[in-house]
Amino acid sequence: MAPIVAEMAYPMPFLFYLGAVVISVGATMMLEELGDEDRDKPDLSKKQEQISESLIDNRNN
Amino acid sequence: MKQPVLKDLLKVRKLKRNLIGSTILWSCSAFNFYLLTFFLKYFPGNIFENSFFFALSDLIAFASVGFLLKRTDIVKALYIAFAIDFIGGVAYILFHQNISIVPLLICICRAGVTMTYNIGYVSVKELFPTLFIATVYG
Repeated sequence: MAPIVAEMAYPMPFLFYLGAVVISVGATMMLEELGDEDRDKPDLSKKQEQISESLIDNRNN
Repeated sequence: MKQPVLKDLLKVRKLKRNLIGSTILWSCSAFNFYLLTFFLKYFPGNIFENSFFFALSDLIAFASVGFLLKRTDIVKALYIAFAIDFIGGVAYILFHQNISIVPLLICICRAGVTMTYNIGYVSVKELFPTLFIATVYG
C-alpha cells in the first residue's frame, strides 16, 4: 500500500500548481491596460492646490 | 508635492481592479515559481543537470517574453504563458511515470511560470499610473 501512496503523492504538488494557474487566469481577466487618459488619474493636482491654499490661509491667520 | 497614497489609488475603479488582479497574479506566480524550485531536488536525475536545464528554460522564457510583448498586449501574453503552464502541468500529472520525458515537462512548466512572473513585473507600468509605479512595486 505504501509504495502506491508514495507514487500517487509524487505529482500532488502539481495539482496545487494547476490550481494556482487557474486562479491566475481569473485574476488576468480583471486586468485592464490603462489608456493615455488614465495615466494622470487620480488627479492629485486639485488636492495639492487645496492643501497649498489651506497652508497659505493658516499662515495668514 | 503631495505623495500619492493607497487611498488615492483605490478611488479609481479601474486601478482598484488592476491592483487586486495583479496581487493575485503575483502571488500565484511566486507560489508556482518557488514550488518548482523547491521541488527540483525531488525530480529524477542529477540535481546539477536539472538546475542547468532550469536556467536554460528561464533564459528562453525571458527572451520569449520580450518577443511576445513587442507583438501583443499584456493580457494575451499572459494567456500564452498560462497555456504553456497548463500544458506542462497536465502533461506532468499524466506522464510523470515516464522518467525520460519528465525533465522536458518540468522545463516547459518552468518556462511558463517564468514568463508569467516576468510579465507580472513588466506589466506594472501598463496597469498603473506613473505616480503609483514605485508604490505598487513595493
